[in-house]
Amino acid sequence: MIGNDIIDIERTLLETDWQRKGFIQKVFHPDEQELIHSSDDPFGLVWRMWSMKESAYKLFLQTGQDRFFNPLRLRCMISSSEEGFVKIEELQIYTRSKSDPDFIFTSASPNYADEPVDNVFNLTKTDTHFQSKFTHRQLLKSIARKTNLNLRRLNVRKTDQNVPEVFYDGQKLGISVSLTHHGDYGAYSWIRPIVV
Amino acid sequence: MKDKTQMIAEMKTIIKPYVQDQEAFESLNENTHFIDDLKVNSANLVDIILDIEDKYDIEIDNDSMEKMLNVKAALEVVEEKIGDSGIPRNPESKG
Repeated sequence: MIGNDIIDIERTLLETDWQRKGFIQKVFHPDEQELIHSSDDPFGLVWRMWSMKESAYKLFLQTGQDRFFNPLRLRCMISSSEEGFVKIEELQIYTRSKSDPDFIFTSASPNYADEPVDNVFNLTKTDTHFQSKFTHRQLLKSIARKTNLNLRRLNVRKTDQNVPEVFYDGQKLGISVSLTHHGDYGAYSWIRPIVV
Repeated sequence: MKDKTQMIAEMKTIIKPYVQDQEAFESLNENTHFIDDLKVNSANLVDIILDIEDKYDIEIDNDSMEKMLNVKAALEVVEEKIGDSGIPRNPESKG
């Protein structure tokens, strides 16, 4: 299982006012609000924790859960400038966030030891259909390269819960994937099942 | 109580600034999904909920918010909350 999320900083500054009355209370638990208020970069922390929650939520849906909209159900814990955890119900999900001047990217996986393949790239168009398709293509190219599978026989489909799955000649592969795009940036993450 | 057409029209006005798929917005109906169809950014879904609270002077707790992924669920929550605030949903006449 894997989840990811990318946030375009410039786009976020234009699109969302996190200081709007009521916003913080709808998204963050009082403990998390405390962290934000005592941070010397509240903007950065707000959106890092948002991307932690979003990526953990995507992973959580892969456990067969129904979709919901309630960021408060996911609780962030910060371990370092990159690493952290998100707790939801019985699950503790490990997150790694990269903060760049232009974007924040987080990937979430069940274990510290997981090493997903992930990549952030520029998007040339803002049209969401284009962005979604382009991001799918980047993911499939990466999978084809690393597994020696024929790119033309690979495709992505989404389940009713909007979870992406990868198929080869119509047969579902045992790879977990996650896709995200926002503003000028897109990213994919994928992971092979651990062979013991 | 307002009729459904009016409620949907009001909802459209609230949602409009956050929509990223204009085609889906033109054909908006009860089953329209905020994220899948309208491509609303999930952070802007918080804005939509706050705008709904302001517009109807209601408070949407996180348990209610949880369901608000499509137009139908949003309308249901609004109706329920307006009901909570004193306007009876099923008025009983006493007398």
